[in-house]
Amino acid sequence: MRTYLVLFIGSLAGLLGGPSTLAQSGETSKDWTQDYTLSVQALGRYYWDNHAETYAAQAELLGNHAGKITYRKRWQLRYELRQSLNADHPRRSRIWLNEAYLAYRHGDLYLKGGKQTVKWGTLTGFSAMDLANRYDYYDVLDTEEERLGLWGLETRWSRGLSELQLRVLPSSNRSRLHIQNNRWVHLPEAVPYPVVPTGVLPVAYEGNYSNPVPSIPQLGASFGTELGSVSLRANWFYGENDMPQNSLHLFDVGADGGSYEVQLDYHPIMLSALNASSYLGNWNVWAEAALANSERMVDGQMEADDYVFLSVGADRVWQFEQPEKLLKLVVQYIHVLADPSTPYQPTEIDHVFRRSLIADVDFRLNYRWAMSLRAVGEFATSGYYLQPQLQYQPTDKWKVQLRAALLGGDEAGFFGHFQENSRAAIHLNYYPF
Amino acid sequence: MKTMTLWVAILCLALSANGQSATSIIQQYQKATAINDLSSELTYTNVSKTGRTQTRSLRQYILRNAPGKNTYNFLLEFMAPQDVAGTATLTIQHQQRDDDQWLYLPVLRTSKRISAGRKGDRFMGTEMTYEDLSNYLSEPLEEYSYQLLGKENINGRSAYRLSATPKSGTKTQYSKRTLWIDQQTHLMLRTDFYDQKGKLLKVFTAQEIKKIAGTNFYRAHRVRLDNKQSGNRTDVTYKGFAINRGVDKGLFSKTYLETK
Repeated sequence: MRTYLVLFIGSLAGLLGGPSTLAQSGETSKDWTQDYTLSVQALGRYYWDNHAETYAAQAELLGNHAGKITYRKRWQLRYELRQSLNADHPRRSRIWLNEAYLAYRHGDLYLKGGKQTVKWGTLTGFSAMDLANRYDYYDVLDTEEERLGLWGLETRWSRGLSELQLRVLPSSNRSRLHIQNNRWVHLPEAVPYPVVPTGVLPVAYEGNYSNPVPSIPQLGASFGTELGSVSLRANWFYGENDMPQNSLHLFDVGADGGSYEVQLDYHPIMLSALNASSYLGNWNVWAEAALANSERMVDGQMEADDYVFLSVGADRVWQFEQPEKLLKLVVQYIHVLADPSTPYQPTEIDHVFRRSLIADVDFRLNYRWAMSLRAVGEFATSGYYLQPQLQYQPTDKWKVQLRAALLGGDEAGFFGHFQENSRAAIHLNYYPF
Repeated sequence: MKTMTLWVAILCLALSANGQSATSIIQQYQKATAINDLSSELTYTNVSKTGRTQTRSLRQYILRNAPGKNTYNFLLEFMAPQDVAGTATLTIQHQQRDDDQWLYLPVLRTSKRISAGRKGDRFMGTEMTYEDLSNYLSEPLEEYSYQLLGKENINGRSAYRLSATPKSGTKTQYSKRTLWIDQQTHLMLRTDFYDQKGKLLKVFTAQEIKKIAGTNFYRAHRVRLDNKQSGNRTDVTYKGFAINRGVDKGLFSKTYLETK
């Protein structure tokens, strides 16, 4: 831990007191442009309900340094160095290169190779394609800031307002899971065991392992075009579903108890989606129809898990006479058509939304104060999620966010199952340049 | 006949100053601002009447749609502050129909088509409206009647003072504009905008007019837009102007917007 702290502070100091040529952005000549950013975030979360008897509070320090060097708008080198420091969870304390890629464009052709973050969905709201995104799942609610870089190749070819995208990424690109000592993972402390008199055997977690599967690369294709004022895009993804199916393997079983490991099984998933978006007056409107072909474990056996994902949404911005005030609204309804007899577990993250209404409201009172609310209603399981936030930004370099996350509903759904993870949080952001 | 000739001569004198008519002055202004392409960096600060500020830095790329056309493609890339860096808008102007506009937000990692702002909407939260921006790129001569009002000194520079009144059928948020055009560079030094009730709404002023290296173009490097009714203002500073030095057409595409 001390090593990470020294590295974190050392690299930060190096950046802040770095060479004088290091600037926020600039053009060294007509041919070269360079942009550098640095941000530091301190965040704390407090869980007032601690039935899970895990941690009641979390504290982290996160650093992000990114750079982009462009030559003649044709060549581009980009990197993003990330650091996280967490006193309680050593697995979270690390420094890594999240992005490092070289891109080249010539005419209608664009090529990118190296480590890059990929967002598969192309919808303003949640897209079924986003099931393929890779994250660090240390916290399940704040994942958007935790998108992981993946090694791979991307190419785009455009003609007018039409574009074809192709991506190939090796199979080794997986999300980062935190199975032990995590409020979002309930590891059993006892399992049914008829052999012992009580019928229940106390067990201890000893680790996890991935069940070897044939190597499956991630393949993606996307075609977008414009028809009048309507944007259309067809997306396709085939690769590993990195939300693994899991099973327990007991060993060293005795009269007093035993140990177990969690076996993680990765299986393929194919996602196909059609997006359409346009505007009506000042409203932007969009819709998606998608098909997911996946597999899930039922009574120890793998079965097909195919479902249709339908979604419609709209968003707009309101301006006021007083220009400091601004209101943004995003509303989305998701309806998933799946086999009604499928008993989805509340912990299956792929199936959090079944019949859901999601609303994001952002209101900027003035250049310093803003507030927002994310509200999710999941009607299939009577679940809800509310995330109110108050933000104060005294200068462009500092931003403070007070945030709460309130989860509730039926235990059979994700939000009800994890209602004890309702919490309050504070995020302090610093942008030196 | 002699009397008529005399009246025509008097009328011409009344409409001119140093031999310049309102039409020729505004045409010279349009010529001085007409470009095929332009790129620069700019920083704008919105200052509220209470003194709170919001600053944004951008790169802008502008390319005329086609020779002879007064419509442009323009791309704006936000560079700072960091929480908006990477955001970009692409606008393709059309003469006969609504402009096409796309917005790229880094968090979405994709561009989305958005409703092009109505003429009176503020552009990026500034005191400048979409109509101001469009007129700034190309003064719509056919939509206004211009009248020369005289000559005045603005910030130490000699300027022609003109009024621009919308012709019948012109859709505009203003009932009138008063223009001060620099006699030397033919650039706009000041514009007073009047609302539909004829009350002064905004004042645009241009300062630090410098010649762009390697060209015959001059540009204001600092402009200010004061909203006289709300008390808010926007200050803009420019640097790194490059005019008619070629801007890659490929920049004005959704692909570039998402991969810049």
